[in-house]
Amino acid sequence: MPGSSDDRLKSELKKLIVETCRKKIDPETVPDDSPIIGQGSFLELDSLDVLELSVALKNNYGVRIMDSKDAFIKMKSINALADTIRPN
Amino acid sequence: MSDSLPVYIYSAAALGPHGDLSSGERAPIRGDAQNVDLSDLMDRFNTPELRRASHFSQLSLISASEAIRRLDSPIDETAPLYFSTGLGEELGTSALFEDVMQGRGESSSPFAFVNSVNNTTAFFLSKIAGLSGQSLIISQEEFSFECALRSACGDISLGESCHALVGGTDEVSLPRADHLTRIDLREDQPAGEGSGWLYLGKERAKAIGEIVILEEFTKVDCISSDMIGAIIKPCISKKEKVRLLPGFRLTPEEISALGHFYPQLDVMDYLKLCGCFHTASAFGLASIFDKAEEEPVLYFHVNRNAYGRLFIVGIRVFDERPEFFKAGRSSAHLLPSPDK
Amino acid sequence: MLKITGVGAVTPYGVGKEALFQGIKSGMPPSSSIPSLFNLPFSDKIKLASFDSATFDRKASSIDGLILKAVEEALHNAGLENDSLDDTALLVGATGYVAAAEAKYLEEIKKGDPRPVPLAIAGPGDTSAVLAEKLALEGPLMTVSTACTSGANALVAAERMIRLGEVRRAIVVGVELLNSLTISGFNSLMLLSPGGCRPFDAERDGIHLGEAIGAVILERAETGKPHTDEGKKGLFLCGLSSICDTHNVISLNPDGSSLLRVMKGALLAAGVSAGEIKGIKAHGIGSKDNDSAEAKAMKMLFKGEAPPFTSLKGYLGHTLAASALVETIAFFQCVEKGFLPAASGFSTEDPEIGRSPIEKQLPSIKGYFLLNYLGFGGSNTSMVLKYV
Repeated sequence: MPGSSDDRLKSELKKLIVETCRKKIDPETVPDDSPIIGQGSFLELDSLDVLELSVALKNNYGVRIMDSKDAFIKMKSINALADTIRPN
Repeated sequence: MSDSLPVYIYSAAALGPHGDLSSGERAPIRGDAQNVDLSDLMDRFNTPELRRASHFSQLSLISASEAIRRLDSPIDETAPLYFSTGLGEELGTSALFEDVMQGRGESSSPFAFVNSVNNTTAFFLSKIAGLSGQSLIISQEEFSFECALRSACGDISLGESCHALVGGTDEVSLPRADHLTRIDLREDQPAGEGSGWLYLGKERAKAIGEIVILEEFTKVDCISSDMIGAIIKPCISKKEKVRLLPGFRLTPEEISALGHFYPQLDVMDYLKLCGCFHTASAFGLASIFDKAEEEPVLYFHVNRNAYGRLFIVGIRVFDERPEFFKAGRSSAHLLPSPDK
Repeated sequence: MLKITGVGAVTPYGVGKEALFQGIKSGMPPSSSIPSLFNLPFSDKIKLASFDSATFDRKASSIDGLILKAVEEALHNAGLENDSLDDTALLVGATGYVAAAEAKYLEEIKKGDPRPVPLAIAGPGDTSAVLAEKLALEGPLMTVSTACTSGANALVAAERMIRLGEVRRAIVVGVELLNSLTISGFNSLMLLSPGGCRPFDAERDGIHLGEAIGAVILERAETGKPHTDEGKKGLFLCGLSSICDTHNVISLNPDGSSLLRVMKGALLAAGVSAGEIKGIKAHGIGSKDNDSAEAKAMKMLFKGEAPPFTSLKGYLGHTLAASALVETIAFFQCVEKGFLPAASGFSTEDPEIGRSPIEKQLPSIKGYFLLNYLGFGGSNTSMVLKYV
């Protein structure tokens, strides 16, 4: 099952992101398929958040983020991130 | 330095270890300060980056923003920032240090590293205050705040700036035994934390006080009442109270000896409210504006270091001040936040 | 106007300004390896410019002596080694002495303590007090700690102290010693390049960190021999500007506007027009975004007539708090000997930037030069110096 079809994994990711980036919102309100990085996105994560998340994702799921370009692709949305962790 | 003075003070605020911003909220500390949770006081800000602010940054931000909101007119956005700290961000940095030294450097937190840099706090401060000028961070142990004040007054006197925001912050990182490897304290001295801020300028109008003494002495083996008297007495005007704020490096014997040079001298032990830390003088000298006064008061702060240097700061608190400085209450509910 | 009457340095090229000059002249980065005591799981993926073991044995107790070497060289150059320093200020730019805390920690582990006290050191100000005692210096002390611009801001503060008449001269020192905490921090921010800094290059991919100590003696140009030919010659600090830009805590404003503002401020303070600048020592850190923003700012300031520019970070790495002192010293050692140094590490022009830094040593001419120093927390500093 690809990660994007696993609701439990996605819930876990939302909680991790909100806590890691110290956002004061309910993790369950984060949509699965909307952008989360950059101004105007749902979570409005900035470059420093992306770096912090990269460390958290490596520690928790062994995902390696190489640079900011890589981060933008892998963290495009919750679905994209879940699929990066578990492609199939 | 005396050629540069007086420099006037338009606003002041001090945050103590209980999250106290006004005299009504202050209380003696029992034992070492305990890093009180400041998240309620952080609610006044809506700058998104501040969710990452460390406890050290929070102490600085809450206290500085209080000084800004007590200002009678908008802050001069070209005003330079002089931020002093003896040890900087100690809680997170010591934890990060241990992580790295125990071999976990590859998975260390970028937030923790960025917060360990003093400039991050200065960046946040400039951001919430809307400042775009220079920011200088000065770290000179127990004279950190005094050096920042000296720089600010010098720059104002040179005409480099019309105003300056000057403050100092330090935090405690427990256990005490660990903290004491970074700051030397006597057994009877509680470790403290807090932050204090002054907003300065050259014009007398709207001032709530003035800086009249900023003197550093070297090779001082023994602090005598005569020596202090010779510096302070010429600054005392008739019909004013004189109060001594003893710094945390003075011994009880030295403090009582100092009392002899002036008959009606009050000794104010502000350290019992904030504990001992390198920039305690910032808390002490900003919190003197908390009290309601019927007449002008000349405060002077004396501290020394282990290298035979002595620093004296003299500040006169005017009796004519805006209501909320007299009321001795936190103005948090009176004025909108500068950030909103 | 203030004159720099003496300089001293300790760098990965060795002890002394001459070793530094010979190193830059050779065009080659110093041969250095990652000190084995650093417990860094990623050490095979980074490059550092570090002191050799003969220069520094990485003991906490050696640090003051190392700094003193640079200061004594500067005092000697200025002809002050036997003078009284009673009206001299000491300003130190330092990010803190984490290297000392690490050395202590490792010593405790060696003694058998598995969990020593972390960061068991006094504040950054203590080192300046120790130095002042050793030098019998009685003027004001000040330690400036504004990350990578610490040294630059120490110069700013020193210039004002002298101009105000508080002191006759100042010793200004920049200190940066490599440590695992800083290296890990930069690694976590994905800023470290595995191959080293390639300033303004199309393939640039980050910085490499270095360590250095630089010291200068700053005096009023009128003191000494002002009216003699000798007095009129030398290196003069003409104008400085420093700001805090609140765009982003870890990177320069990408539109170049904050750097443009601070460069203009330095020109204004020096009373010099952009057209009078003969060369630029860029910050040239080697990261994608910062170099682009710096190039943009230079383009805006100089319009079509830009002077040659270089970066020294390909040689020395980014020496953070020490960078302003050690790079200013290195740059003017070269200018004094007749050339502008090439930007080591650069090979291919970036079409986005559209200009190349100095690729091969250029003959230098006397006159005004602009030097940029940038740091975390939006700290931007520029200075104009004149060599005649």
